[in-house]
Amino acid sequence: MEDKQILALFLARSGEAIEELQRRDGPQCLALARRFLPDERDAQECVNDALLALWHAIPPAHPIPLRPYLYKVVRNQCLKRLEHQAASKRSAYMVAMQELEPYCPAPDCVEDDFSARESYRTLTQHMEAFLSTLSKENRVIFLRRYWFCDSYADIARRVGLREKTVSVRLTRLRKKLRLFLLKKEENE
Amino acid sequence: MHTLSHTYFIAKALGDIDVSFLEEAIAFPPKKVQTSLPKRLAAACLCLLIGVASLCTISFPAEENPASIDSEASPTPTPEPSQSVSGVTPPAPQLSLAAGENADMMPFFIYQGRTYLYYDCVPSRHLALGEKAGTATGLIDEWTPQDGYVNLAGSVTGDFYPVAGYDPSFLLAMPQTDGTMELFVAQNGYTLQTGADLFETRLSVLETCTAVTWETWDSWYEEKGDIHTLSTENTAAFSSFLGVLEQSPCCLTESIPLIDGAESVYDFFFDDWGLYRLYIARDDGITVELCLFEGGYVMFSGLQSVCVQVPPDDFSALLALLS
Repeated sequence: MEDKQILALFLARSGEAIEELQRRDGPQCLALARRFLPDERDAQECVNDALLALWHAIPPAHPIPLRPYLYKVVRNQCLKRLEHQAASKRSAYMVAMQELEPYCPAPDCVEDDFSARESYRTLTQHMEAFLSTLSKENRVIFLRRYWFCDSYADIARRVGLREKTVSVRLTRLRKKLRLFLLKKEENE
Repeated sequence: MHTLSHTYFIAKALGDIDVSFLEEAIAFPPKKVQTSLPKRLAAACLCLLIGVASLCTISFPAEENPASIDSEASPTPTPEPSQSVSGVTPPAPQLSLAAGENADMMPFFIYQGRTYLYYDCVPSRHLALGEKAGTATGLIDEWTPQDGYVNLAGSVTGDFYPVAGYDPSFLLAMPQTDGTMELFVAQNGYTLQTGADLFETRLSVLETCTAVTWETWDSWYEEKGDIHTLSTENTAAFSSFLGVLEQSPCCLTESIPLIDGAESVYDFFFDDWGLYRLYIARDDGITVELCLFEGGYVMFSGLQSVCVQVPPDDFSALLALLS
């Protein structure tokens, strides 16, 4: 079913909307959640929570395309859950983020306060600016790794490169990101 | 130390990027992997952390007769990596698949104390295989403890075989269901004195060479595919270079002095010193890929821990041929 048809079901407050979305995108959402949460039950619950969140958000939201919006909600649900877990478990998400950490500034504020929100926003803007400097292929590689937490093998299959090429690209992209962020910092 | 809050900070900031970026990443069409493209093993330098300590628990003498090896042989100590007048002994690779080392994708397996690392994938029609040597169990992942790095373990699963014309203690093949053959090159377990020990004894480059192509480092890195073919009038000059290559001494890549600011030799080799990638097609369909670096260093891309240093005049003559 197309985005528009599913959205129409949401707007009509039909329970079929959730069923259709679950049928169409459920497996991908679950795969995404699993990369964040090693526990299968946690991952499944996050997907359910995301679908519920969507149910509450539409209307008034009219997200087209629907899929990236849904993935974003799933990812946020996973992050929220991870924050509430006492001990961080190893997951594809943790591995990917640990790769990226040395290349990004550490937060210098208390979570959930105003300055934290400002810091998030600034880094988001810088990330967007950085992504805009990349070729389409490199942008996809970067996001598949650090947004979707895909494995190198999965990225290689998607973009038609060898895993090792993906690895080299990501190493260079991380270095490039660090330089980009340093320059931004200097200019501010 | 990695803290969840730092992780969360980055993840949250990245998570809020505009959905148009996500759309692009979701919609990006999968392309067919082009196995005929030149091998791009450079990344191994970033994934394969060449170290002096072996994580393998089973080892064999460096010059063991390959015909006599079997999977039931008893373990002996791993030879230390060394460089002396008698040659260089490549260090057993320190295969760190630990989380955060970003090497979780590297295909390899351990057999008879040697670590076989993925080299290339070729059509199987020209290759003759011997009897099955073993089955890689694929039991190693990012969280395998060091004592899990045992015989037949690795990051890939499948039966592997010796290939006719190659020393099995150097090269093994793993047939794939799609009719291709994945090749794995042993990274340790032998000593190399001159280029001949690698390019003549183990790869028979001169005898089997059917064509030579090359591309600049930039073309290779940017995947421009700007491949040139060696003309027939230059064949003799190239053969002469191969002769020099075989007579030139081997050195451990890690023994090459670092240039300013470099954290490892691979940093400047792959970032600044790369000149050409040279592809020597053998008559069995396997391509021997050479990396040419400043300083006259020549590296077989399947064994990055060892370089051969060619005399400056001979190296310049080769560069003149390629340029």
